[in-house]
Amino acid sequence: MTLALAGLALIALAALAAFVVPGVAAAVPGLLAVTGGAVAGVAGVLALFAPMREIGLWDLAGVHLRLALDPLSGAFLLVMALGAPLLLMSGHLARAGRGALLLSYLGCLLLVLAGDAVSFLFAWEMMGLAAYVVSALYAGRPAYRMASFLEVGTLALLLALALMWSRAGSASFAALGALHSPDTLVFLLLVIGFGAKLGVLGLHGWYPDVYASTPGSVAGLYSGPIWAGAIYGLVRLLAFQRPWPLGWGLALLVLGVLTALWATLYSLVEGDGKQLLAYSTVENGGVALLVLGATIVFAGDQEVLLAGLGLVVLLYLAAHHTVSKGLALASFGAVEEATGERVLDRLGGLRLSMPWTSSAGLLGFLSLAAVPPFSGFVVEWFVFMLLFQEFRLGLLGARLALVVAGAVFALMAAMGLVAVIKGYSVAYLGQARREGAPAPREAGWSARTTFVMLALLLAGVSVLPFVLVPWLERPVGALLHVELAGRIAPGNLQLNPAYSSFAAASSTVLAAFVPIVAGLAALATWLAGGRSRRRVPAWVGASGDAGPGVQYGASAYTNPMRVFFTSFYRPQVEREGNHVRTRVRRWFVDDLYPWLSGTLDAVTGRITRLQAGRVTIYTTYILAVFVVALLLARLIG
Amino acid sequence: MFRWIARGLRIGTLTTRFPRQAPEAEALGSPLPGIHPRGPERAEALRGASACPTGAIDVDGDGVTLDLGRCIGCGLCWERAPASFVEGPSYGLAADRRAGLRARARWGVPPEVPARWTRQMPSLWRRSLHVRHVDGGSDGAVEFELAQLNAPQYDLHRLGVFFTSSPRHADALLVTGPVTSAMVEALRATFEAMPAPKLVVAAGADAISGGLWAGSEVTSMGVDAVLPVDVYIPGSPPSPLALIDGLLLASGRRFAALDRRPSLLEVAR
Amino acid sequence: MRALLRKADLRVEDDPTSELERRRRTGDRFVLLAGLDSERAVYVTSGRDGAYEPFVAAGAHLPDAATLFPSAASYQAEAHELWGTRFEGIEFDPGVRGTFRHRPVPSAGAALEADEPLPLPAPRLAGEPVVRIPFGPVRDGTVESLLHRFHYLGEHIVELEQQLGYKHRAAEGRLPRASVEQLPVFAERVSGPNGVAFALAMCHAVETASGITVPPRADALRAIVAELERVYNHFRDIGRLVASTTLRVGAAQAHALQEWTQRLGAGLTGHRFLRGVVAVGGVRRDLDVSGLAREASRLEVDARAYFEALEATELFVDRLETTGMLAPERARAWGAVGPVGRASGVATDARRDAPYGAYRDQAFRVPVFDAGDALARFRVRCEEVLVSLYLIREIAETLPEGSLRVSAPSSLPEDALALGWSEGVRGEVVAVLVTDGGGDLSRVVLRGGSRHNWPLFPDTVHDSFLMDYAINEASWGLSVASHDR
Repeated sequence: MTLALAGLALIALAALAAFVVPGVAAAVPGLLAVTGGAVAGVAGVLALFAPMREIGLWDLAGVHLRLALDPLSGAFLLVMALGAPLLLMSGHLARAGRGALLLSYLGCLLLVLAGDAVSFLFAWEMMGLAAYVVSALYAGRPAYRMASFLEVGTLALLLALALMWSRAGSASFAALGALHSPDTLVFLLLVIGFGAKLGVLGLHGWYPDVYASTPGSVAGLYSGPIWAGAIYGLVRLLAFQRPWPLGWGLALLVLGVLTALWATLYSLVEGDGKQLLAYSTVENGGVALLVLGATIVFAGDQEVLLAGLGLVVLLYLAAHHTVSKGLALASFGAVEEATGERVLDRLGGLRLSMPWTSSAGLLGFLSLAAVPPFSGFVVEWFVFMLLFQEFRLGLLGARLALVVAGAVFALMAAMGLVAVIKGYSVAYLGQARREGAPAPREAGWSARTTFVMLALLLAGVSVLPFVLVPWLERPVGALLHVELAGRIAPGNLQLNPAYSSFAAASSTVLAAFVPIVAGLAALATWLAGGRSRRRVPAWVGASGDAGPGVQYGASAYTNPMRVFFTSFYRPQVEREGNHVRTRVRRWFVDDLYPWLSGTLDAVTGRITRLQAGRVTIYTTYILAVFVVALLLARLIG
Repeated sequence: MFRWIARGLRIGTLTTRFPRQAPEAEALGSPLPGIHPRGPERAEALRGASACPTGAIDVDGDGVTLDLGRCIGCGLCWERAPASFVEGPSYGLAADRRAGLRARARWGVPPEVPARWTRQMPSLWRRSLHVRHVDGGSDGAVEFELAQLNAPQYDLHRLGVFFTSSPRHADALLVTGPVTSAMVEALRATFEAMPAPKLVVAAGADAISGGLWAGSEVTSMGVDAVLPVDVYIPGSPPSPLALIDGLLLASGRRFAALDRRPSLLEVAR
Repeated sequence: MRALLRKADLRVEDDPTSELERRRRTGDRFVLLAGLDSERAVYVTSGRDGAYEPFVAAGAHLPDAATLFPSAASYQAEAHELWGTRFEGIEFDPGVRGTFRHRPVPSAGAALEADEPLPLPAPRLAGEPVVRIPFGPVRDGTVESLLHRFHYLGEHIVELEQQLGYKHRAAEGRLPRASVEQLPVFAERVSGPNGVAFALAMCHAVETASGITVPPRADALRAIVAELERVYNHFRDIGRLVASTTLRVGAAQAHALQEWTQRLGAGLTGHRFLRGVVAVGGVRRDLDVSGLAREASRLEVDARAYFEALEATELFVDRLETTGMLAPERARAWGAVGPVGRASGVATDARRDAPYGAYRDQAFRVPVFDAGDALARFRVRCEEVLVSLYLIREIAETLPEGSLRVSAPSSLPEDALALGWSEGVRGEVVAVLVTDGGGDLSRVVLRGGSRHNWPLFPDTVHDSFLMDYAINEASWGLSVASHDR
């Protein structure tokens, strides 16, 4: 506990330093914050093996505020720590932004350590509002939209916690956890509350614009610690609502699958790199809901082992997403800073001019694309194995739901792969598409250090799951009262989906195996005569037209999908002079939200007419109410 | 689809028996000239030489040289000078050196048939030869004949010769037409794009010597002004039989003795 | 109906602008514009009665005819690039590759590629999200060389930029040095597969200039050979069209039909491309047409069965319907010729509108469709094959006796301009001969149907799909050698 508090203190110090210290020592707050995050992470790991510790803070209006560190919090402290290196890149931000960013990170850690409803809400707001401040420094309107969505979520959370509090009589998590009375209204409010942050279908409209305008490292934090914070909140507060009705699981399953599919479809045709990654985050949010839904379904049907597997996968997904998305966004953010471009079709040719950034991006994007042996592959494999074991269930409806979810997940995984690979290859590989632009310069030492740290963490999460998974089993085992030891990570280098007879995989072995085989193949080629080589220009039909405009672009790569799903995308091609633009229909942003706000405006416009602004009308209202009250009193009394 | 299969079965096999046996008479066409078997006659030969639009007939003090690489097969020579020039065969004339296309005869002496094939082709392409065709400015007729090689009557695939789209997969570069100045770089780029070992085949009089269009400011004097040529197939245009003959020789196939191919002395009809 | 203008009536138009406007008002069809030198050009239009009306215009800057006749634009570019003619209000950029001039004008005696080739014109669409695909000049298959640059969005072609002229051999520069006897030999080889039509147009021009009349037997033999050429060319184009829709068996059968026709021609004339028959004043030798009518009937039966089988194949017809639409208004304004024009409602055929030779005594059908898509172009060709085979039968069965050739003149009239034409496979072929004061040829113009139609092709590719491009191009069936000369 003390260690965690020490970490928090370091970060608070860093935030203070960021606000006060002038730009010359810009790296200092970043270094302090990273150290604080690392310390918190170590504290989290230690907490996994220790019983829960609590610290009371002070009393506020009859509520005893406290911080609590139990294995679940410890696991998420570790996840948050995985995102800490991004703070090193905060030196690029303006002073106010730097400080706000560090405050937001502090809020994430506080969220995980909160021990009662009030401190939880306080940390949640701190996390969200500080993030808003950072975003608002770059683009006002998208940040404002983000804040409004998040406030809708906070309102729902507030209501949910209030309901639980009133039922339990105390605000502390210990009291809330002893409730054992599931309430569907609370469930819905929790889904809305955390869904606004995760970006579930309907509440995802703010994601692309905010990611587009915010610098890469900041977006990486949004996708990392802050996103994981939402997952933590969902798990923690839903745990108070046990035993879980089966229907909740199905609802989450459907919502998660729809969200993920929707987001993947849009990421497939997205031409802006940061927006593509934003949709990818929404997709991962959908996957998280999908996994949580499956967990609840399995738990409802007494398949506790699979429910435990589900929660372990959820925690692993949080870790994977934090570090992979963080690396991808950090790299892309560096690209944006060096070239000033976000649109994929205007980038290209960065492999040689920005080797560090390109390598870092490669690792991050490959992991997001679920390419073995990275962590994304492990997550995807686990999800498939979880869904495929639906045959162990008894209820036909639940089994059918899981099967359909598995099929849609497969479709989504394939499209997601295409989208992510498109994002990387068009932006980083090939020739630079903007002719005449100067070669971009490689990122500075702070970014490079971030890349190296994140890459090492990604390697750890990907290649050492047999270390990580037993750690994650601990909070899950405590939560669901199930003994998972050795069932998922049986001690050899393999991973099993709770039943070793069903399947086994090992990213560790792949990580060792693939380079060896590749090396042998390269050696064989070299020995067989690959030594004599002649370099010739690319074959373009001997036209001599081999400039950057001739290579494939993002739009061209996925336009067939646009044509194939034409009834969904409703694509339009616009030609102005010698420029062409393509457009797809964004159903929520272009249609639903304007309709909603328009209706709201119309309704409130009508209501406004009641406020005539004249004293005579108001006195008439008072008279009318008086008369009605008298009549009522007469009738009742 | 069955309708088409039924049609095909009804029509039956059309493929020529060439090169295993001599081709059917209907397949012959587009003949090139030859020097008369008895030898040329001087006054007549001069008339023939002046009628030749490409200067393929060279008359000097001792006799006549007929350069098939320049001949466009217009027939004016054997029309004007029937005692010195005759209608010759339409195939079997491919050579691996430019000199192999020149026949020489002294006055009144039967012509000397040049050695056509002097080198041993590598066995590499004996079973399959992949050809990349480049049109260097031809009049379009050679492309017709090349496309006919895949028609049922000739069916080049049965002989293991294929046309490929990518020069990276090609063994032989088949060039038609006098290389125009606009196509020089394209031709060189295609040649560079082919991996070694590779061949260059010049098909048609235009490709061998520039034909009627040689010597203008936009045409070359044949492909060998631009690339090293390995096989010359004369004709204007060379008939499909001549193209098959040339391609098979280029691929190193040995016709049991080159004597199944008619020599200059044979008259086609 | 021939056109011969001697020096006395070789009017050099004082006011070419109003002459062009007058012809536009009377609904004339633009046929060609050819530069004679840097200050003169010859214009040919065809009136509603089918007659070809040439005139010569002179001046430092000739009027821009493209405002009145859209097809004149490419001819003006050619006149400027090759002959230096200048046009009012048009600036040609000498630093960029033109259609026929791919290199800067070389100094005398310099090597073929002394200078760097001129750069391609800048792509018309600015980058992202559009991708540029350069297709050519070395394309796949045994096809002719040209460059098509697609501006492409992934399956959707936004625009097509066409660059021809890779096969420019300066044939028109070489032709004036040929002797009158050799002119048909040269003309046959300007565009190989259209050799007979080109040689016919050339011979008509020379015969007009010399005032000689071809004997009827020669006329009939010429017509037979011209129709045979039409038949094997159409079979080949149909085969390429069928192959582009990946109906391989059907394509093989079309090429088999083509081969039979070419072998029939080789048996008749001694050359697979029917060369060496047409000569100035008649034909070079007699042809044995004894079995021809029977062979033509057999071919007609086979062709009819083949076309019916194709029309009954839904997959094939579906791919062609509405593909590569050429609107009739556009075709009419352009003056599109040949099967392409007839498939878009432009009902021109030189054999019927300005009859020559044996066609003066024959009545035959000219198929015209309105749809303007690839299916219409295919159907036009099918009908024309049947009409040609009918004509061959008719003429072979009623072949008149008589001499084969009238002796050719030793020289041509001085300061004259002579016009000759014929209906080639892909449209009318027009030959213009211009002689100088000594009776020598100073300029020869040879324009085939492909030369006129190629610049219109990109119109049907803008805003279409890549999968349709190959089918569309095969349905046009144009010859690049005939365009580039």
